[in-house]
Amino acid sequence: MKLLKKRNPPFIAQFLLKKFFPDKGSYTTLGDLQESFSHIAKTAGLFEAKWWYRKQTVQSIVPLIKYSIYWGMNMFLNYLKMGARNILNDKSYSAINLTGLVIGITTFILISFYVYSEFTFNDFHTKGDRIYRVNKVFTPLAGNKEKHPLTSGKMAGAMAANYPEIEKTVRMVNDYSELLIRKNQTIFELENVLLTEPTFFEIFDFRLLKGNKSSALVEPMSIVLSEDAAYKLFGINDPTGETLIGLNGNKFTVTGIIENVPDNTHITYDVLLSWSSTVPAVGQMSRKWLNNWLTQALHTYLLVKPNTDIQNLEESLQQIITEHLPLKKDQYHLYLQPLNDIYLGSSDLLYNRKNKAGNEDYVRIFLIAGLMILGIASFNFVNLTGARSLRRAKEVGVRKTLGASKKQIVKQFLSETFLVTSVASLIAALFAALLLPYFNQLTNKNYEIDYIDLVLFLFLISVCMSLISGSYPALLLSNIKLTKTLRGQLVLNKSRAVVRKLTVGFQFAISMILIASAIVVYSQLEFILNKNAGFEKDRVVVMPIGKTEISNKAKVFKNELLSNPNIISGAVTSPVPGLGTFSQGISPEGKPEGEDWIASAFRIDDYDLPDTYEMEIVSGRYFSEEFATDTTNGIVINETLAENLGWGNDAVGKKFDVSGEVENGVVIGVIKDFSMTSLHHPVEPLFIYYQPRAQNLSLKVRPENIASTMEFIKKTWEKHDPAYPFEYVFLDETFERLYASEQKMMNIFSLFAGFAIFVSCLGLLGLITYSSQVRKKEIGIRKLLGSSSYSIVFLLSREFLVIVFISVLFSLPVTYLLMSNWLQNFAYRITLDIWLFVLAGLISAGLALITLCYQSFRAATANPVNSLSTE
Amino acid sequence: MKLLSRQEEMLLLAVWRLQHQAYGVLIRDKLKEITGKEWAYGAIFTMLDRLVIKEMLTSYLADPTPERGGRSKRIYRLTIDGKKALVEIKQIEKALWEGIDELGLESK
Repeated sequence: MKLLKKRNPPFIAQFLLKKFFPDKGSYTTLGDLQESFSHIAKTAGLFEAKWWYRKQTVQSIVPLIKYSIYWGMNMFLNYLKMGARNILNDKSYSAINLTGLVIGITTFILISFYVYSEFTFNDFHTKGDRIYRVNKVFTPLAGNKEKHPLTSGKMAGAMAANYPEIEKTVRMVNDYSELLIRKNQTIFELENVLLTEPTFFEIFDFRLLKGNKSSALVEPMSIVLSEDAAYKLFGINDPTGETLIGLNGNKFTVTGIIENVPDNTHITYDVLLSWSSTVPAVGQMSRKWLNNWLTQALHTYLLVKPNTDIQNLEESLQQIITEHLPLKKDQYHLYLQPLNDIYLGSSDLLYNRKNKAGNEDYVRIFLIAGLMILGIASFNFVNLTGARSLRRAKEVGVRKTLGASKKQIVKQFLSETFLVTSVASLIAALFAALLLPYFNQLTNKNYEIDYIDLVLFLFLISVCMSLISGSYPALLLSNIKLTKTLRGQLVLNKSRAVVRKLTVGFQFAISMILIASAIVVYSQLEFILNKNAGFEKDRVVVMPIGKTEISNKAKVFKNELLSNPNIISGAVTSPVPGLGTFSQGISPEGKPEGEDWIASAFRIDDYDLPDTYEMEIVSGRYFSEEFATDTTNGIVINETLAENLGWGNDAVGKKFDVSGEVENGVVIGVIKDFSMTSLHHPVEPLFIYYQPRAQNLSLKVRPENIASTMEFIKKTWEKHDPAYPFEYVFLDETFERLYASEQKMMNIFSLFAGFAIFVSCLGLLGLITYSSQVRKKEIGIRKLLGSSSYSIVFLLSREFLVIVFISVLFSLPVTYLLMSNWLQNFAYRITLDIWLFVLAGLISAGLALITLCYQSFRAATANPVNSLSTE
Repeated sequence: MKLLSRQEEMLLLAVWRLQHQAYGVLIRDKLKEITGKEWAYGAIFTMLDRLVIKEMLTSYLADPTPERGGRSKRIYRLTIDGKKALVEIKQIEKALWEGIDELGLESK
């Protein structure tokens, strides 16, 4: 048996031949081939025989394929011709179909831009799969675990020295103080300074356009300018080797030019400054906190060797903490975040503000929503073609009589669908190209079209869409009984009605979900923007004065401004409420030495914070001029901190030291909680203390004559510091920017919801038009027998109304789940009231109703004479 | 009726010669014997099919044999039309060759 098996022809060749010569199962041809095969095997050997067999296979199949393509093309062209005739034949039907498809595909193309760019973020680094950022999980003494992307300055060195798996490390931090350069009596501001090391160029693929990669960032005070920064300072001249003089006398040497920061990286910079400049006793910009073990203030990235076991490395990295920060070993837990995960996977990280971040959930939601709209458009196609099959049935009958096989009918309808979808895709591409600028505005991005990719993409969409939306009508029509079609006895059967009900139901359920979601997102945003964050943010002008001459004479400046009656009050503070904080270690009364307590620090330089921001003191008192000691040891804490420390209402009078800042501090009052960050996060524990030279001046202004007030402020500013340009922001505007990604989501969602309901209604319009055409005579007879127009409207739309109603009901729980999930992102959120859903349901059902009534009313009011007189 | 092509003529003759043994393998062998060339099965079957469609050949299935992997032979037979076509082509050829030898075409 075994011997015989070996003498069999090659399996694959035989298989192919079987495919091509079905021969009703007897395969006589194969028999001939096999006979020759065994003959050759006997005379020339098995190997020869096998080769011969294969050769025969190829020789037989190639011409076959050639012919099938030739005839296939012929038929295909015929199908396309018929398709085109059919499209032109019934213009309203084609218009409905095309509009739906165009909207669906346009949306999908635009969404794909967004999704693609989000998923390929950061992917231009050639070693990207080996780059990791060192993050840590931080467990505070009170409160929830937090994730931070921050590390301390000494860690990188210890990691590089002790772990053979780590090839290179790089530290970087976006320096908070901007770089001010004095050149020819003008002051230039280099906004985004990235302190980093020479390995920056070895690990990442940012292009250095001028200068030497290995030496550009070695010397202290070396600076690498981005193209824009170089142009701003030197025009088109080559700046390398030039010296820049800072406002405070620091001298920087320009050692190179780096490309402008690409759109698709989370790292941002205007200029790079060598890390060595910050090392105490080495560079002039000594920053102790960037070069010690304790302060967690910078980002460390690792380049690991190929095939490193990351989990192992992560575990062993913890050794660094136990060795060098033994006090924190239970609080800090290091882990590695892959570079490719940083952009989308960092929404749960705190202190990631300077980096660009996306939100993976949103990307998913958009992708799904885009697909849904595409689905709605496909279903329109399915339904309308199904409804029209009555008319097409005769054509199918004739084709079948002339010898078309079922397969050919399927092919015909698929090619027709392909024609429609590819026309729709082309129009959609045109629309997408036209709409791209607006879409960019809506999403705050900068997408460009790659036309080659787009064409491929469109082809793919067309093929997929025609398979999805074409197969049902194709199968339906190819299965029609020949005799029935030709005798014209075709009736809409039950199974088709079920499919139609399901698809219409699905369309409205999706529309409903999108509409309800848009409403929820909108109300949540309104809620957050209007929620009292614990302070009043309207009509507050904030000016950063930290770097100006004004910071030395802030009080004089402020008093001069207050002479204007339109300026109500002003407060000099270090962070600004609502715009982020920094943490500091504290030692409150009654807590043991070893325990590390951390809270947000808020520094003031005058007594007017509560007035300007309309904050409330809960117990005790605020800082006051009457108590001279307030400036040295007065502390005001917020309610959350009082609660975290377990002091409750007895906080006033407790001792409270701030490490390195306030000794023998005493709590003089408790202030009502106010939010220091966006309302995604709950209020953090916070304390306020007095420290001169604060960074920002906030002014509360009157709503009248804002323009002249601002002009007055500007003049006063220029009087006190003519060199530094006048800068200000309105706090409420800055605040809105904190919710930019939600705003974006809402914009896109409303658009989607609009499209979805529009396309669904289009489909409904098409369906009701057809059903009223089909039932034309019935309607005529009914009217003749005395039925009113309204009862006919009801008759026609009843079926659809029930479907719409059911689908709206069905989508309620889905929307509820989705949205309550989304709301988890916020510490402060709206409750999902029933009215939100009722509103969404009313909108979608209402639009459906209008569509239905419009068309059915037309059918119902038509004169029965016209419909009955024919024949 | 349209004239037979040269290949069709050869095939029909091979089938006629083989009488009740005219199936794929032997037809191919016979053609090889006559023309001295290897014929691909693909080419032979395409033509056989075409001749069947033109109703110059009919075919029937014979018993399977083990060396064929248990598959039947498809045996071809000439139809009346096939025979007529052969006769016709023979007459034409005869007319074509009439007297050519006397002109000394033969390369001796």
